[in-house]
Amino acid sequence: MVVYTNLEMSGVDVMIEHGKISAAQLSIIMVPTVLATSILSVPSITMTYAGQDMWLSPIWASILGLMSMWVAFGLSKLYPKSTLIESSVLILGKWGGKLFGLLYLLFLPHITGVIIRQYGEFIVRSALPQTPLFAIVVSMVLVCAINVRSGIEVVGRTAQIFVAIFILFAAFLFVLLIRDLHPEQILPIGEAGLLPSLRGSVAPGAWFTEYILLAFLLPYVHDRHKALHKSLLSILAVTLSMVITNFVCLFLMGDLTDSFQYPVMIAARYISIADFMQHLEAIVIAIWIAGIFVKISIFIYVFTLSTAEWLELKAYRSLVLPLSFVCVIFTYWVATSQTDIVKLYGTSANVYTIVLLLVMPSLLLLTGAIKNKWFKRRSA
Amino acid sequence: MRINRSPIRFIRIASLFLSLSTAAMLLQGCWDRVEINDLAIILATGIDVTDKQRVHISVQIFIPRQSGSSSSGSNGGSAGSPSSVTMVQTADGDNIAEAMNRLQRKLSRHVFWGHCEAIVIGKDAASSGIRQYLDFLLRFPQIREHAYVYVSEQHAVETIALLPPLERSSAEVLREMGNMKLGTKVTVLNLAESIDGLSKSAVLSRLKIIPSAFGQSKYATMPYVRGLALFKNDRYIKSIAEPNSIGMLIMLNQLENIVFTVKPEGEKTFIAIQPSNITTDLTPKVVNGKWAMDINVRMRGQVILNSTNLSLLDSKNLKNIEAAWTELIKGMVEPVLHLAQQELKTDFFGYALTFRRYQAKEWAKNKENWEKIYPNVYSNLSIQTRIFGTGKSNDPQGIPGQADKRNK
Repeated sequence: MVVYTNLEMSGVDVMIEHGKISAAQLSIIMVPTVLATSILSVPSITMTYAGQDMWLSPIWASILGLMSMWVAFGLSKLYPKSTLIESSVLILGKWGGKLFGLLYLLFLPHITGVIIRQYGEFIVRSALPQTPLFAIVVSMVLVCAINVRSGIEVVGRTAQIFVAIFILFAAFLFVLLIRDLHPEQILPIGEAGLLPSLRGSVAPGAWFTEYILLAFLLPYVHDRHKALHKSLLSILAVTLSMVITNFVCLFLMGDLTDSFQYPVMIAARYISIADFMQHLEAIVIAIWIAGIFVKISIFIYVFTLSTAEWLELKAYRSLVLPLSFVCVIFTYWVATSQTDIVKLYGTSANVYTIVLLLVMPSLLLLTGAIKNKWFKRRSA
Repeated sequence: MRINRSPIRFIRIASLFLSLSTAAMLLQGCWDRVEINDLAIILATGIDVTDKQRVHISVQIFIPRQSGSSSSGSNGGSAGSPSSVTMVQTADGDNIAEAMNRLQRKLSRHVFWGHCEAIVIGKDAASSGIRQYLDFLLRFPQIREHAYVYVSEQHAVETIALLPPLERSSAEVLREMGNMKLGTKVTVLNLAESIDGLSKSAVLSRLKIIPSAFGQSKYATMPYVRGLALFKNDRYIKSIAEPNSIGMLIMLNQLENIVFTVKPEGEKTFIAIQPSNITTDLTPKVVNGKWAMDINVRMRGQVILNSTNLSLLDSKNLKNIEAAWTELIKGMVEPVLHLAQQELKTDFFGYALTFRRYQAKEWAKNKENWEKIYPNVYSNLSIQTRIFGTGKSNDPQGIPGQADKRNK
């Protein structure tokens, strides 16, 4: 591979993050990053559009995930040592690149705010109705900030531990529900053709575009040659989890799925085995918090790192707490109520995230590739 | 065990311990901390309407007993009369939410619905429509979607107020009866599904009250499932008792705990069969624009009483009994089919859903006309019965002089 040192040198030549993670950790981080919030809203949203074909939607949606991943790997092939923010400067030049980066500096706190807000609203709704949102949000963000301050290695490790618990318990809960599931709810398949399931795939697709975060994290992977393989596995795992979740909701609630805010929560509450395995919703909340913790951490991490890179600082650690606080403020700005969040997820947020997490990076990659070709021809 | 005296290790352990105990202090539930003795735990809810169409709810509240600590632990058997375990409180309101709030104001503790395992709807309340109750039950966060729903012949409060001698509370009776599948096993979620669904109907168990034993308080008795309550849209329209309710349960594939009494042809006395396996399959067909439903009922059972003189070793006799059994089932199912399709024109058995699933094309073309099609769907009933066991005995028992037959 040809590396254009002159271009690389014009950007930041010293990495701010000194830690390294493994490709396996990278792929594990991405699982809750996509799943944690989507698992709550996706069954309901896909049901609205796709009806009993809702289980197909995540499969279509995963194509968007693969595209995001491809863009991330493409960018990283051009500039292996640069994150999206740095390579935008290398590709679009100082002004263009900074402008491009600024877009993300505005977008990242916004989306982080949405994520934290959804976390807060969910906890208020289903566990702690009397507790002010602020207390719930701040306590979580504080813990995440500590996690992020400790560096990418710690974030990777916590993800490893929590994801194991997350998957184990989620599988356990679904197994407990088997008795109440009615697989015949899947019929008829494709009642109105493929269109409904494709429409239903927009929302999960928007979640899948979060795989572009790989473009921010790939420079810190020490075994890069395994990264592609592991990331593909990660997408597979996420797709499977979404499909299984949708199946469980469909088989349990049928057409009623879309009338609930959080169908997975209803499913967990429905468990009743041998008169004592009941009221398991607290376990669901507990393991879900483990997942959302990883998600919020990684978004705050990417936001902080991007800001530091954009400002060309030498370290990012001192930025963590103030920027986390910015995210908390965004939490209040993004929506006024629970219905706002639901509406956001069902409609505009999808286009918004897809544009910023897939379309823009794709354009960047395209520009980079053309520029690269041009340089190559000129030097030849 | 070797004690590690390294100071660094000690500091580490101490700080770990400290941080864990600090965490424990923080883990009390923030603003939502509620002491268990500030809760009024509701076990069952009854919904009635008053004469003025106001909602009247009655709840059964668990009374935590003091005896555990004070009365030297002897609270088994005679010590605690069942009457002290639960109490009943009622409240009125223009709608169920208002009634619930009024109820809260009558109680010194926070009402907690998380353990409400049974919901009883009075017949009057059910016939004026249960939509508002369903919405409330599926919207109010604390209520469990797994709670069983029943319709009671009397006012629901009469069922809720019972203090059964056998179980801790009548809520427990209702929950166990739901688990035992004595009628239909319908949870709040199932009920909403079946009313919201294509069939726009529901079948719930109907409750009656066993008259209390002579000399006992009128509350010292239990509710029991007798017959079924039929709902069209969200309204109660009719209740059915045996044998129609049995036929309905067969069609719903929910029949359990039953004994059939069969009178074989040419016999004056009868044979009782306990089926262990009852399945009903619905197979929809559309041929030349004619809609038909193949209903295939399969039963396997064993004889538990033989008061005829027929030997059960003889396969000819068994065939004869099976034929009579088939006739019996036919006589139970056919009137129910007629009732549902022609009389009430209500799709209790989920025909619509079955057609949608297995005849998707025809369904898509004709779903607008379903109301007209349904009464004319030809229900093609076929029944297979099989006796697989004859209990502990082969030959009839208790016939005078029977043992002597070998000498004849």
